[in-house]
Amino acid sequence: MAKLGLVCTMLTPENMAIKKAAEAAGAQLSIIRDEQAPFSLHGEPSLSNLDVILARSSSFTRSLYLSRLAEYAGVPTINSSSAQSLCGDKALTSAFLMQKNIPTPKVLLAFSPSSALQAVEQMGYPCVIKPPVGSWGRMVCKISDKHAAEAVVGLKDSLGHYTDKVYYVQEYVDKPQRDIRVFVVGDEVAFSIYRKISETSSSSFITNLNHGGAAEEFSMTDEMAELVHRTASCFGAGIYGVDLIEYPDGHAAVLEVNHAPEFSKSAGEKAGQVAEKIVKFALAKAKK
Amino acid sequence: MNANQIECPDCGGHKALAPQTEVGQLLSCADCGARLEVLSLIPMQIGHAPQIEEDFGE
Ligand SMILES: Nc1ncnc2c1ncn2[C@@H]1O[C@H](COP(=O)(O)OP(=O)(O)OP(=O)(O)O)[C@@H](O)[C@H]1O
Ligand SMILES: [Zn+2]
Repeated sequence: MAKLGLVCTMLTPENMAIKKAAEAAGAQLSIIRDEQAPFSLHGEPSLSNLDVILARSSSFTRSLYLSRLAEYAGVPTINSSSAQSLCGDKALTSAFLMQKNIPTPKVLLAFSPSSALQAVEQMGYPCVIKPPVGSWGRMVCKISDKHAAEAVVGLKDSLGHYTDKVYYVQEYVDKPQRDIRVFVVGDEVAFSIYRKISETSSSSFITNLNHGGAAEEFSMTDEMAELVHRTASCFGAGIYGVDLIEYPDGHAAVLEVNHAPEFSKSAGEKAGQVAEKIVKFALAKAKK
Repeated sequence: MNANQIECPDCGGHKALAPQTEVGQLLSCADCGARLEVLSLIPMQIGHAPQIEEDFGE
């Protein structure tokens, strides 16, 4: 049976579900925890002995390194390191989507506080500033006026980390009190949900479930389904969490693409089935 | 303390582990909210879960 590697930082509920599904499928599973041991840059045995790898580190940086090492060792990696490098950086994601003519909100990129403030003025109010790398809605700021812009840009400038000095300034989309998460495995949609602002949400515009947003199953329109398929195929067959955002006129755009999407909260009772689909997809990509 | 009881390394709070608990499983302390991980079952060892870094996410 194929040797399936699960590269991860910790055994999140998703990784536990994948472990269970891999065992049920009879795969020979090895779990590679990214923090627990060093990795050789050439022929690392814990990676090179595998037939296929699911890259599910919580850390984007670690995931990229380990996926590259696995690919150099000839082990198929899901998702590919090239897809991960695009998805893990919102500026690269946006640029890639635009180049592929996939509808996505407008973005300006700036590298200094003064050009960031110019970007905000050019984008108009309200707009959104967010870190190019990061997730779970952290540091996503809606900028409603010049005072807010100056405060956020000033804070980012004083924070010190180099990624805080990359200003990703995005058009604000006046969406309904929700956005859409579509979980794609290969060319199949495993589930699609609305992420809705709820009474317990910690934000009035961030819909993420870890911010108290509520998941609600829904069926995509044909237009949305087509958009999602086109997006996933541009990134290459893989496992993606495609986030859609709806404009007031009803048209949807791709907000971002997640390369190690969570599903334990969003899929609810279907989480086990999602894990089975993931394992099946990975085993089909295994070295023969 | 019973064999399936753990003690939070931060606040000392006690908690019973569910029977199907596995090594590596994540838990959160009901008393202080600390993010914990099961390091071993025999002997029972509990440690802190990996720290969340800025590049963590989906
Ligand atoms: N330009 C925008 N206009 C309106 N809402 C936005 C915009 N950008 C982000 N949001 C909202 O902010 C939240 C987080 O956005 P985003 O997905 O860009 O960040 P993230 O940290 O990568 O989150 P995720 O965990 O979903 O990947 C979502 O609820 C999204 O709908
Ligand atoms: Zn505690």
